[in-house]
Amino acid sequence: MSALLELSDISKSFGAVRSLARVSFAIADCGIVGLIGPNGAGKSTLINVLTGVYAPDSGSVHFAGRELTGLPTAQRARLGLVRTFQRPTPILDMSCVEGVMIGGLVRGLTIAQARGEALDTLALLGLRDAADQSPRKLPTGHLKLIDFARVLMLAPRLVLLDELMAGLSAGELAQVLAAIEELAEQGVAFLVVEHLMDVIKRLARHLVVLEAGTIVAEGEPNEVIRDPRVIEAYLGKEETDLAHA
Amino acid sequence: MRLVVIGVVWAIAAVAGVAIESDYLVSVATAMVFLGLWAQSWNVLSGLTGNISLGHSAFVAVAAYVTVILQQKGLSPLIGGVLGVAAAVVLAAIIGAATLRLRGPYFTLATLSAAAVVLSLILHYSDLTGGPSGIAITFAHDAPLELEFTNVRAYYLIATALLAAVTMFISLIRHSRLGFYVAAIKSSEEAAAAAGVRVALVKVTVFCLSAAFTALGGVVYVFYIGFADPNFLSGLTLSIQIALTAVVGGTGYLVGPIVGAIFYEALDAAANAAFGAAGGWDVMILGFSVVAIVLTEPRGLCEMAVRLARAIADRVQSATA
Repeated sequence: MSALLELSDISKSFGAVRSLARVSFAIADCGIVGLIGPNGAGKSTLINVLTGVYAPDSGSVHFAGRELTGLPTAQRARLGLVRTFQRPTPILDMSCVEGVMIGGLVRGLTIAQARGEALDTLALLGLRDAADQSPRKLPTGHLKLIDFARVLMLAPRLVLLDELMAGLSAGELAQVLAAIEELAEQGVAFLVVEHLMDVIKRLARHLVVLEAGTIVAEGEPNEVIRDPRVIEAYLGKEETDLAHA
Repeated sequence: MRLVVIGVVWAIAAVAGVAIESDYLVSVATAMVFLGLWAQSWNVLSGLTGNISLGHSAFVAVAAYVTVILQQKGLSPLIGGVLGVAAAVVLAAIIGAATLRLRGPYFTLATLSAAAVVLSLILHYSDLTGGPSGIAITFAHDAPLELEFTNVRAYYLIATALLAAVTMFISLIRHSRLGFYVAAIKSSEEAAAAAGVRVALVKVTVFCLSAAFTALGGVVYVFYIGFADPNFLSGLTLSIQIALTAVVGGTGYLVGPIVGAIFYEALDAAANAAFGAAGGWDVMILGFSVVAIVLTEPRGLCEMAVRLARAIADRVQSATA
């Protein structure tokens, strides 16, 4: 499989704090890559660099064969590189379905077409009943999935999920995992940033472990989480049982 | 349906304005309409995006001065007005681009400063603008193509038509692609950009639309008054008045700025009639009223009316149950 996304020697510092140091890895077309690491490892910074929120100090990002340096976030999203946020970002003055429609409108759909597709996308994530409700009245889990639905409306090629699963109910989690697997089968690639190891083990075909801005291990998930460096850096010595679960 | 309602209301307002015999009442109504037009135009930017502008008088002034100066040089106000509106849009594009990253009070201060710069320029280039003395427009005959009417009702009719057109346009914007993008930006610029919305382009576009509508009012207003007065047209007072009118009426409602303008001008006229303008009682009463409304219901008179209607409906329902 060809690489859809290629990061080469990405470094990013904020003052004296080095957030990312020469980070390189690739995501294949249709692949699901997991990205784990302790808090402060640089996972969100990496997503912000990939989506153009932060400019890297050095290094390059290629997406679908195109150098992304200097491209704004919206342009990257229109190319098919989209993200979700750790905290929900609902469109407060609109109903849920209207907020989701925005991704379709950006893609050039008419308002009627966008509404139809948005309803289908909400149904995929188990939120059809919430379509006409105000996001002000919905729980956090629903709001995160509505954010996910909005970026799915852009017909993305690669979705960066920044701790999407944290805070979801068991039912929501099952629904979203099934949706991600279905979308992956249809050719959508994912970078899954997550603390829930069961989710990572179920979804990821490749796992990257970040610590203090550098990659300490990567490879097949079940092998990587047994790597002593990963257990010590991320899971903690006393939690080795998790790695063997 | 909304457009039909707006059209019907405009027709009623137009007929009423022509039918009223008192020139004084027509002048009060005309002041309401101009203020409503500017507040409605202001709401395109500040109501939809949440960024409060205190510099909208700059667009009134630029359009009015460009039109009047060109008229003095022999150009019809219809052409001069187009150029005046274009000049205001260019100014808005510059301010909009310069303030893209500013939000909240920083954006407000930037717009305030922009209006102050416009006022300074008008006062400084007195050979062109008349400086503090302004430019008087004198005419004795009706000349529609020169925007010159001896009957003030003509200006009332033009202003109400503009207000109706702007209100229709805003109604369409709210349910258009642009309306969706603006709502997304108002909630979260980061999320909007992540959904592919070109935030900078949309913000500048909305700023330019808002300025264009405001400027249109400026072009007609200066011929209605017959005098390009720098301190009124580009002063802080007008900018604050425009913003307050929209806020008092309710920025979240299509008719909010119009309701605000009716309230503002009616109260002003009543206070003037009761106490006279000399003692400043009118300004005090207006100020206290605005503070009382904002404290009671920050979302304005329209929200107050909706809540009152709901309370009455609930009471009637419980009484009949």
